[in-house]
Amino acid sequence: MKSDVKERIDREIRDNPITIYMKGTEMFPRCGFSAAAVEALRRAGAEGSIHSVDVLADPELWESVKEYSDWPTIPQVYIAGEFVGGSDITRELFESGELQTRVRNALAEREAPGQGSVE
Amino acid sequence: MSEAGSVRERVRERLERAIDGRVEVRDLTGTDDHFEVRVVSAAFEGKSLIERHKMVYAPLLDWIEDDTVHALSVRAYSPAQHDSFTQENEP
Repeated sequence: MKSDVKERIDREIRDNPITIYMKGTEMFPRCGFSAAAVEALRRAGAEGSIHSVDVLADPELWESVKEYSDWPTIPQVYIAGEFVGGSDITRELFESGELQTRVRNALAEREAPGQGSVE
Repeated sequence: MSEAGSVRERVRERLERAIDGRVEVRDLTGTDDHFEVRVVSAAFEGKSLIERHKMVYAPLLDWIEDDTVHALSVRAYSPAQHDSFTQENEP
């Protein structure tokens, strides 16, 4: 993986509370798994705060994200800089309620860094 | 049900060889390249979801890479989890 691509991913997942590397865009997913992951994130409270990146538009990035996370499939979800998983795990965490918690914490952290959740 | 030599069958064989547990593989589209895999194994005990899924991906990486397996949905349960799950859903 080229170091500039690695730095791009480092920066992207750090600067955005919620990042998804997917096929297609948040508005127009081009794969059922990507669509399902976006839907789970929205329902978990992330709507309007999802940074989506279309790997179909950038083959080099596509290869690099797989290497970066040591994960062979797309989509890939990052919350607060941490790799969450693919479509199945994202949906499973939504069903258990953990996704909602992680999304809420990531968004609160962005509003008030270091202070936890504030009203 | 599935023919010997189908990708579905070979996926099942590889997973059974790699993971000690119960393996089910469904062909989601009838095209022998989109699969849903369910594995119940004591080897998942105490492992995170990411670790479990990686254990399922590991024996299939070359097929994921060359698109023999185009899409793979994974459910990986420990035996205890699976029991409570089936009890909840089968009154």
